Amino acid sequence: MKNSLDELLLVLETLRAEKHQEIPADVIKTIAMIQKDNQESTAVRQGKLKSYIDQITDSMGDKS
Amino acid sequence: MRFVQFAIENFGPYLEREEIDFTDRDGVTIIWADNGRGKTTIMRAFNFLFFGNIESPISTRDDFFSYINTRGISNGKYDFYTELTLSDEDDIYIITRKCVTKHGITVPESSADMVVELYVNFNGNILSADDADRLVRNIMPEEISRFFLFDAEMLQDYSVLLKADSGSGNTIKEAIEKILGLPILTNGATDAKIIRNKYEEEENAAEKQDKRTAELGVQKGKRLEDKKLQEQELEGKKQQQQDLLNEMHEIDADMQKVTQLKSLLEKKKRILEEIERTKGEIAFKKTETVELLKDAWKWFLKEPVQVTICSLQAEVSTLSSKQASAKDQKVIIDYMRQAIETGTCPVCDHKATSTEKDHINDSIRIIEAGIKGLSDDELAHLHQNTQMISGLKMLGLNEDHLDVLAIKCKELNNLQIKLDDLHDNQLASVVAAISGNTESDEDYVRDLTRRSLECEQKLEAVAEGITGIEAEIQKLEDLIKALSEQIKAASKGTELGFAQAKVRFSQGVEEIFTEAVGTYREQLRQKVEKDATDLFLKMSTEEDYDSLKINSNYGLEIMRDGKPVPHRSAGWEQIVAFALIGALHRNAPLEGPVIMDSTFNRYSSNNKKKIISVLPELSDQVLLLANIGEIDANAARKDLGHMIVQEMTLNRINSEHTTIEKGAN
Repeated sequence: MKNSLDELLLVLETLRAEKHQEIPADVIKTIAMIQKDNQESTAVRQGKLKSYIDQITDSMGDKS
Repeated sequence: MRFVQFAIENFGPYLEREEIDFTDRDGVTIIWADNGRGKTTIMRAFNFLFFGNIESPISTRDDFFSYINTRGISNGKYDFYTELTLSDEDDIYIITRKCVTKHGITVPESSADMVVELYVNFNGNILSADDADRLVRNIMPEEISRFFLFDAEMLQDYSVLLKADSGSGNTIKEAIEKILGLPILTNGATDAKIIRNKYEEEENAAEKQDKRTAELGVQKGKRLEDKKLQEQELEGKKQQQQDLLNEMHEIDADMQKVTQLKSLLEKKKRILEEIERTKGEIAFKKTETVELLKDAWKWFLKEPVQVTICSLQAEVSTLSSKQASAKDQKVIIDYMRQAIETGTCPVCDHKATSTEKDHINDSIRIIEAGIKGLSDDELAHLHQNTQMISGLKMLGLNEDHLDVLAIKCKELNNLQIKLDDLHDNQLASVVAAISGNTESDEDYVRDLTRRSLECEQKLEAVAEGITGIEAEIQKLEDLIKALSEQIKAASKGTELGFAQAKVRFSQGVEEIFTEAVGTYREQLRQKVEKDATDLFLKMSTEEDYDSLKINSNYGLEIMRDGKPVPHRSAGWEQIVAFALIGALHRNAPLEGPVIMDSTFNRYSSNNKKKIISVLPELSDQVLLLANIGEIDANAARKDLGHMIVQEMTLNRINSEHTTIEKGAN
């Protein structure tokens, strides 16, 4: 029971590492946690996800 | 998340505040109770606490007024509540759901005069109503409550998972995927797609502004518009599909109700007959008891009367002995006189000499002088005493019947409990199940069948439509991608570059989450099948059942020699459901205590033993509401060993008052 979230994250990480290495590993984990913690409200979830992707892509743009 | 304490007051038979304190240890808490003590009320109290409904998490016909304790009403106490203290690592939550009299109402007369209120105390702070509601829904989402709060009837529902295209099956499948955490991925994929669309619009706006990409940007903008329209249509179709599935679910439920109705009516008839029989028995026992009590005053005289009889008997004995002795002596004198008169002894025929006759005469004188018969007073006394003894004996005080009376009272009490249970629980629940379920004629069944077929046809058409639109969207996606590549080659602007990066990034997230849904779903199915098989084999008493096989709906077939076992019984249906619930808990990111109400009536003692042994594997905390007699308490203690953390008993003070006591009776 306790390991099932880790297993879900492992599936995501495997796919990320195979096909989308440009996306940092902790970003996918954070997005999964946003989903987990806000399941009861679509608007809150999508709002949080967009602002997180904005923040990540902006910081990646600044670095480049 | 752990339960710390549950409390209930003025709800159903719980007149005063009653508490269940959970310990820090993992394992099973058993609450023992006879029928009619309030086990089902505890289940309903949890429904009320988490969902604000009583009969079930989604019931809409709850009569809150009828759940106020009747003694409470007599005492002018109308509000009732349930309260749960939970701990989650260092956080403490106290959830209280109350049903209180509406403002301005002094004496409520129906549920319309009552209102339900929810309060949550989080680490000492009272949350706002919205936050409290959101938090409780997060702690126990209604859709998955069936895996945490269940009874035997709910276990029966899982058989629909074996049926393809079942509306109810689809609802349960969604619940299963929810507890398994699939929405983390499915919502992730959907949300990422929606956000990607937004970024594409922003990107296209930047493309149109850049001179080098403006023309291509306009073309791409048109494609994006087309795609948006297609996606809106797809959304509509998916909504239509969901509506149809919901309709199928309702039709399935109605079908089930129709087939259940006959058995419910039959059950109601049996319960009513049982009620009448029990009332008859109660009346008979009452008559017997009253009959016994008529002579109860005599029982208190038993001891003094017996002393008197003994004393009288002693006197009678003395007088009777004296009377008998005088009589015997007179007989002897008669013999002696006969010997003198006839000259021969009447006993031994001895010829008496004159000397002997003189001697006999002397003896007669001596004996006559010694004879002391009863005086007239003594005779009267003997007669009087004999009559008194006879009169006292006629009172019939040899048995006091106190033991008999105690047995009769106990039997009467048990019959009254049985009657209360039949009336308040069994009949009430059957009547509730029957209400709103009055359609049973053949036309109605035909209409349901026709609607079901129509629904299936519409679902097929909608599914085809969805496939067509998805193919169209894919074509547009490819075109947009090609245009984006061209735009990318032509552009070098920073603003556009940022917009492109956001689209690519969100697209990557979307792809990862979309692919993860399929991969993880398949992984879960295999794990659920493996864990359910493991639990099933631990509970199974059939040696030739070798595994469970899962289908795409998470329905589980029992396998024997590699082939599904057909026509399994209701008992096996429940064991399979148990195995599925256990497997879901093993694989769920959401965790919490399991509360189950008497789910053992269909099982053999061997099955029960095995099921009880696996209870600790369902969850860290398991609360079992057990019917006394349904489970052998000593065997359960032995089977659970140290995993039985505590035992409690529902103690009936009277039909309006049950208490929750620590320990087993």
